[in-house]
Amino acid sequence: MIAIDGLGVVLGGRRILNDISFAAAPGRLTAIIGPNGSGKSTLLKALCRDHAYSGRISIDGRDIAGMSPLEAACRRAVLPQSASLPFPFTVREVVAMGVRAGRPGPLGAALYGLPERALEAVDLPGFGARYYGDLSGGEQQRVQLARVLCQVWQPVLDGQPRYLFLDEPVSSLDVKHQLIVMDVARRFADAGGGVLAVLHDLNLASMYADDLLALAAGRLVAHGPPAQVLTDSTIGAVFDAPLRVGATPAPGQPFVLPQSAQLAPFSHHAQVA
Amino acid sequence: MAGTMLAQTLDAPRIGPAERRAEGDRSRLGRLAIVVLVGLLLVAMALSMTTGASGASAWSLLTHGLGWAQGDAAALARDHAVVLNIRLPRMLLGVLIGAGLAVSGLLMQGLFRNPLADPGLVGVSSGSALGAVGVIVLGTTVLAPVTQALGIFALPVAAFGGGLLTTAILYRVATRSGQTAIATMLLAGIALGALAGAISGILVYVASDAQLRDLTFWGMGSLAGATWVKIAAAGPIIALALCASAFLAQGLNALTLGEATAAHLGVPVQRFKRITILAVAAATGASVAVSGGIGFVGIVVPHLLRLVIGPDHRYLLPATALLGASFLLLADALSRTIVAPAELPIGIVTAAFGGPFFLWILLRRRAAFSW
Repeated sequence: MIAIDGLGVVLGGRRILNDISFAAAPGRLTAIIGPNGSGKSTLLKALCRDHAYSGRISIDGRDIAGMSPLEAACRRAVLPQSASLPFPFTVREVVAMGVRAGRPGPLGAALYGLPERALEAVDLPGFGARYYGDLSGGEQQRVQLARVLCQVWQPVLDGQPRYLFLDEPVSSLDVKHQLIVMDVARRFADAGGGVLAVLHDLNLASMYADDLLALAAGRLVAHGPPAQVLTDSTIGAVFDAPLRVGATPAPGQPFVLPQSAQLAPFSHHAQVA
Repeated sequence: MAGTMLAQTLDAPRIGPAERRAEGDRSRLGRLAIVVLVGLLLVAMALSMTTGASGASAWSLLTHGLGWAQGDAAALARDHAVVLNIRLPRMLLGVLIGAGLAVSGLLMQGLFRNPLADPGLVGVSSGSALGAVGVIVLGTTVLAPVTQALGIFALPVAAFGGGLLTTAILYRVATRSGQTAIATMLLAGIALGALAGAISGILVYVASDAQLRDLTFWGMGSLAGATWVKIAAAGPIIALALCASAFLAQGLNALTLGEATAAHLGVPVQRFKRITILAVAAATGASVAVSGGIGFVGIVVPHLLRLVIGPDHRYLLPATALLGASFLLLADALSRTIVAPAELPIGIVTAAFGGPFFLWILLRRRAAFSW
């Protein structure tokens, strides 16, 4: 359980987050939505201790302020918005960094194939030998996700849930890979882990999330299941736009929703060791 | 029977993917490179022991010592002196300084997340030199208590202090919230180097004739003055920095993803950066203190190895130390033979290799940089 109590963040003299309190349970996928500059990424960064904050954040009862970097790395993995590398690492070398993280001491031989399985999970099989810098933005994003998955491969370890923090995990992806990545996150939650994801696509959020957190101007405006948060009044207020939930466009104007995907179940590998 | 078979299948480790070497895994190449480089270093060490102006031969000394050959006792005594008191310390100093300079370049590149960072380029060497010049010029007056207390370590410790101060300032100036601005880093390095050079210049201006002589010999960038005392003074500091760097490989790998991500991967980033800066300053400072400025080792060696075995620091770090040592020994051997019986300052040789090499890196990477 991630418990946040009275969280506030001030950056460069500006108050970015104001008195945020909520809890995100393991086994659930929580999506953070809100307009640009509403503090979504800042919220995630505070959870990762990237920013100084006031208030209290705890993971499974442990205050994160008192955690060593190693303990934190063992409990949660973080997908950044984007990452460029100054040196020519291969895709496999990047993903393998996640295998090391949070696992001090010698690695068992069983972990050797983990990067390959993670790359398969994000639909990049056979990309191991490619140079990270040569990939497209969307491919790089999925390589980073594979690295993150390696860090917390088992959603529950020794009876303790682990967490994925995803900052706009599908921002550079095409529709198919948006679905693949959200499926990965969904399965992680279904297997007992917790997922906290910043999402811009309200349809994907509605389709995959158990709970939505709506932020506007650094405040928590709404928190609850999609059906409760995605209403005309809430969405209209949060995004300051006259939106209507569930309204279809005029006849003859095509629209495509991710919910309509009739893709065969992707052949992802089971979440094991 | 069937039950046992099934149990075995279930208990067997997952050898499927592990058995096959994974694509993009260059660790075997890295290990192979380290073995090859150990061989190269041994060859370079042997070459360094057997080349020199005197014509003394370590080989003949060895065969005599083992009683395989007979010879003139006086020549033998001369060879003995040359090999043990001149060539051996020079070779050992070359190994220490070559490894120290190459590794401090690599550490700096990892810390700044930039392949162009090098203690010589961004003013750390100048800061170290300022420390050394300060001890040489002021060692008998203002700094007398310090030099007396530190003895033979005064010069390397002062150079270490100068290097540490410069690196710390540089890091403060060039890095904001974990991101290093490349242009800021290089420009701040130039400014710091110029400042340190100016203060060194003032010190040189007030130096006495005897001190000027010391300064000139020291500043030539040469292994020629290698003595056992210098090895005793600088050796432990460089060796300590090299040993410390061995524990930094995983953290440097994580740091290439950025400071925030390194922290998410479990690296205690602030402490890690402090240790890295200390190691850079120690290795650079001690090297500069005993050999003056020898440039480009820290740029050429790591870059060349990255092209061959990739940037994984677990293999890149030891390989860089080994190739750095070999590179400096070979450059030293060249500097001793190219204009024999005189010798060229080794800094000229490394710069003659390093300058064009640096330009080549820039040309290759021009497309990738936007500054």
